[in-house]
Amino acid sequence: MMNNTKDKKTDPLKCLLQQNVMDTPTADFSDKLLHASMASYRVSYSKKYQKEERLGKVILVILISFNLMMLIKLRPFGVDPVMVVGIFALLMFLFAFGVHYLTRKLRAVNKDFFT
Amino acid sequence: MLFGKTREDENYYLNKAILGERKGFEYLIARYQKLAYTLAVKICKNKEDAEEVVQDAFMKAFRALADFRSAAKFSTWLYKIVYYTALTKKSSRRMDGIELDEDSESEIYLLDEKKEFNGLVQADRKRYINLALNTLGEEERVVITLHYLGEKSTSEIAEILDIGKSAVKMRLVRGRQKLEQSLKGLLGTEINEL
Repeated sequence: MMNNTKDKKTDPLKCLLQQNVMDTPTADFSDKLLHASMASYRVSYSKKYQKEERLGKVILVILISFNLMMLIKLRPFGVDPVMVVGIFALLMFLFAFGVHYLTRKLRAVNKDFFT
Repeated sequence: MLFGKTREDENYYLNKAILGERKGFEYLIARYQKLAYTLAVKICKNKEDAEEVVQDAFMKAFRALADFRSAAKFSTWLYKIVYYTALTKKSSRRMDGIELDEDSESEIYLLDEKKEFNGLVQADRKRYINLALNTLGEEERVVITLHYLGEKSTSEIAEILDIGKSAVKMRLVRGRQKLEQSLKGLLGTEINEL
């Protein structure tokens, strides 16, 4: 095993080929390749992200609707369901606003990344 | 140890690229483009086509970047795309009736001459070794390129080319023998070390 490793390292054919056969692309081509690859990744990533985001929103709306229906049906604390829904809507608004406010920096970074 | 460190670096930069960071992309391109380009040139035998093939392959590979957790898997996938894209390019050129083989009769004639290699300048040396490599069959040439230049293992080459390990070993041995034979004529005393 040891000999095999040594042989591989000192193989004259390998040295000869590595010194003479490797083709190197131009710096201009490398630059173009970098930009094209990054652009391609961003497009595919943003498409994937948009799909997942849409699916997440649909699932969230369905779950919240079911929760509200349960809440109205059960009439907790014997309070008027309209009032419960109103309080719930206020809490949801405060939560959504909080999340929006706290993630503004993260969204700004993402916007730079995808444009 | 050194090999392990390189793998760690590769995985680190792969994760950076997944997160969309420029330095991740720069590293991956700098690391893999040379072999990808060499492989494409060896198949297409044309630098313009090779550049197109490499660009297409990198774009395709980067589209699936987020699915990879290891750089080794990513590079194998990338070289596989390069191989198949280059083959497609070559066959489409053939259908267009464009002759790709750059070996002219005079160049092949040079292979038969028992020229003393020591006196040749570096550019000629490179040209002669490339000529010797071009005398191999396409699959042997690709296997030799991946093994000796890319330092890929037999199983990795088998995965890239979609063939069995024994077929890779056979092509490697056959290619090496043919190459030694051609280089003996070309390199004279220098090749005796082989």
